[in-house]
Amino acid sequence: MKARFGDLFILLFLESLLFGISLVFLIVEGIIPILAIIIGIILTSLLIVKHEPLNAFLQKAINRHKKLALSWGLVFVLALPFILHKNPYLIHMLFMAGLYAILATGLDFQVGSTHLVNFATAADYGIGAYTAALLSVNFGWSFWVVLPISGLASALFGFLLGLPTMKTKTYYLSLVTIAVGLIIYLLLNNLSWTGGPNGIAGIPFPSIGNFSLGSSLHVFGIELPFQANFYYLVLAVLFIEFIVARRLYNSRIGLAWNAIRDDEIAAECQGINVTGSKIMAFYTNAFFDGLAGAIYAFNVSFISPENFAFMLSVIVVTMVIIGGMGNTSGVILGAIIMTLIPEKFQVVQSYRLWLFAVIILIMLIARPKGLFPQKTRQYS
Amino acid sequence: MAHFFEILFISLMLSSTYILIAVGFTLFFGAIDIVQFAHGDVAMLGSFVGIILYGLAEISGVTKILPMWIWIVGVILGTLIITGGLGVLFERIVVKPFRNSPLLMVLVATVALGIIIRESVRLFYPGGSNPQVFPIFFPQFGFHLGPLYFRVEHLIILGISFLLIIALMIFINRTKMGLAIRAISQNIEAASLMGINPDFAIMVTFFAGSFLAGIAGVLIGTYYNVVRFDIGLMGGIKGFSAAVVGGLGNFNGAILGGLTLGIVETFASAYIPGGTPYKDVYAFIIVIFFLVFKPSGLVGEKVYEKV
Amino acid sequence: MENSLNNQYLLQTQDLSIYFGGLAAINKVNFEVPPGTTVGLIGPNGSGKTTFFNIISGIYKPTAGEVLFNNQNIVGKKPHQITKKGMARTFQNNRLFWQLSILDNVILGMYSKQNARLFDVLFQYKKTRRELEECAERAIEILNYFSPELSEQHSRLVVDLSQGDRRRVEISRALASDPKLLLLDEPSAGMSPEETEKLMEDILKVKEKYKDLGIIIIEHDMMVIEKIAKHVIVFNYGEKIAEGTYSEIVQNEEVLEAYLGEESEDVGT
Repeated sequence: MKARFGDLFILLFLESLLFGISLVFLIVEGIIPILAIIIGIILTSLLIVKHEPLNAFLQKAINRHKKLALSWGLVFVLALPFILHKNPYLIHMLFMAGLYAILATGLDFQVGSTHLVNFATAADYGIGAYTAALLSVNFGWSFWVVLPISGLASALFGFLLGLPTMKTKTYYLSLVTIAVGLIIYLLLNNLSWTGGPNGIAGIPFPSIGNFSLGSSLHVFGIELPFQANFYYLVLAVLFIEFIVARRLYNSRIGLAWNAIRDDEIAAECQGINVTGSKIMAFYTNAFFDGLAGAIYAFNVSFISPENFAFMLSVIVVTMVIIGGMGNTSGVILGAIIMTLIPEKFQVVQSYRLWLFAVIILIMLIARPKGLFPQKTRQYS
Repeated sequence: MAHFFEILFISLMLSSTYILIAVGFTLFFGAIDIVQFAHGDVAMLGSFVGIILYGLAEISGVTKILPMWIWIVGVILGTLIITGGLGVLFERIVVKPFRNSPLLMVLVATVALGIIIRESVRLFYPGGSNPQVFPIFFPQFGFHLGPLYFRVEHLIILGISFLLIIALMIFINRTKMGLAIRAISQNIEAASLMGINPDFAIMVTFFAGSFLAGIAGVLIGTYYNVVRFDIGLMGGIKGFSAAVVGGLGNFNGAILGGLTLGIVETFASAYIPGGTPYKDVYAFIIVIFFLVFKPSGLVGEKVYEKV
Repeated sequence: MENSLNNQYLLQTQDLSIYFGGLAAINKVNFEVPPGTTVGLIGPNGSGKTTFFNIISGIYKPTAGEVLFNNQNIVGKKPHQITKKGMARTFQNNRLFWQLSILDNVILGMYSKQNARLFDVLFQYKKTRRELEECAERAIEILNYFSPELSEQHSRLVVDLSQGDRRRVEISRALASDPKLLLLDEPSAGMSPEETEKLMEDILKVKEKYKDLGIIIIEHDMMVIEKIAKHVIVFNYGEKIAEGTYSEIVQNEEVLEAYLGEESEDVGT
């Protein structure tokens, strides 16, 4: 009995330590402390991975107290805006990290589980955002109606994009997705009703009853800046997507995707409709990209084609590869890390893309399965 | 009518560029079954190397000492050789490590390479984010022929491209080295049994493809007079598309594909009202059409996967 | 000889042909498999045996001819549809799902028997999970039958296994779908004599457990054919040149001539 609670306390303590350091990382300025923290975390992780007894102890503790550890983490995540309420910009940063996490988790269905290289994430995202913007600005529809519609519009696009995958092999598929992404960008930039290069402005904040998400939130005597509202919104959608991803993974759908990844012909011979399965990966991914796009549009009030350029697709592909292909939690972590760290390196803001690419190369050569590789499925 | 010939002329210019880049893609795919997504950026590097070498030639006074045509040829040749070498370097660093890995790896690695090349030029070349003036190598006057007006410079470029492509076809189809390259692109193991060292052969292939890309870079620079760090992205995608439309792995296909894409793009943007911003769209629609309905391309062979 | 399409066969092909370019890889083949019978398919390399498998399992579409499986014409059907109808196969070069566990591979063999659709997975997750767990149990049973070590180590990735174990997993996966017809493509390829002996025992075990199962087995190792196949068909250059019992085939002049010049030291007893 004593031992049980003993390792629980150690686990929670370590978790809190990790949260504390992350907080410090978020708040602190200056390149030296930031680098110090990053290096410290890398070294500690290496230590934990290599040191067998420590590693085993932590694994056991996590397995035994999984629910509690996760709940504690959830408490921290929910409490973040309260802790950071004097710093709206940081909350906005976390909001953006959450959006990218939504994009990356969806992309994992294709790139991670099925090895379908899709460079059209920006197109799904953009279609979701523009659908939301157009419906709201032209017809005054409420955010809550527009949100699912944006998801469905993007899903339809994903379905149509998936159709040509029937016959296309890896390189051709990537070329098709690049081409389609560019076509969508060009259309958004040139069609009159999308506003052309000037985009669409004047998207209102969503509201729940009388409360507008654009106004600050008073809870427990603390005034949370309005960015917190969007932070919680993104968290809710990410949470739902996470559950969907876990369920897909632990079902024959996720198994079929992995089978297709490993050997398409053998997969077909087990009764898997490979084409249908691939298309499903496309539209389930696109649906969530669409939701993310709508949320983004209603947050920034003004969108233009520049927000949905090819580079965004490349960045999201990076997040999946670095986070860990086929591992939902890994991908979410990868997305968060790859959004927050470049933000902290404001000095090197213009080097951001260059650094991304170098890191991809290093990861591909050193740890091709990603930071958190896919785990073997468990059955009882 | 005059308009038509001018458009035709422009489309041939554009096609030559696409062909030169497409051949690289086809060579690489034929040899080791990979697509080098940064190949377009190698062409861009070619144009920048040209600017650098020209600058060096000017500073060192070579331009004053040697007769004009000697140093021009020198600069251009130097550019091409360096670009070829860069291509081999990239292959060693970014492609070779993934020889036995899933295709996904090489694909993403070369995409990353492309970003690194573009961003490196943008960040580290002086004034890199701005368009750079490309040196003038050829005479700058024009003349009238009936209702048509031609610039000598463009005629020279078109002539050079035309000759190059003919030379390329002769080289590939009639010479021993060309035979070796074709053998490699069919079956690298069999070629090795014929005494061709496969690793060396791969390096030669990458040198050749990148050499041609360098030519494309020089041609683009000469025709437009300016180059920018990001011309390689679209150029590479178009070049790859041309290779695919023609039939990936087939040299004649690369030529046909380049012609198709160049002609469609130029004529569509000239004759379809309001078409210019959409010129890329037309090109890509053709590409998507082929990828879906005829992935083996115009002249490619249908390959049956060994089961 | 009468070649009318008949109700009594599990699998029957009539005048089956496939051309690659101008070359006939399979030329007017009539092939019958009675229910519950094991048929051996032999012939020199390149005689079209694997191509034949690829046609009847739906990977290739024949240029001409008919294939009846359980009295249904399956020409033009895709592999996943044919699998659902009760055909399963193994591959010459071992097509397993390398980055998945042994257990997952066998569970995937039961894919066509499962029912979970996207809607079910999202909104009736517990039910789909239960279905998967049941499949896992049955998979363990199948693995247990062949080799208890495999079922014990069921979480190991398939890529880490020996050749013999890989074959066993592939056969388990094929059997998991409860097929009526099993196609085995050179199961003993790359195996030592001891492993081949063990493999033969495994196949006999399969035949004992699944008495109604029809099997077509492609093999170069004649000992395996002799022990397992009741009926033997011989291909050469894409055509059927002989059929009969093993002893009949071995004395057939045309068959011997086809193998003459072949490097195979397995020919003859």
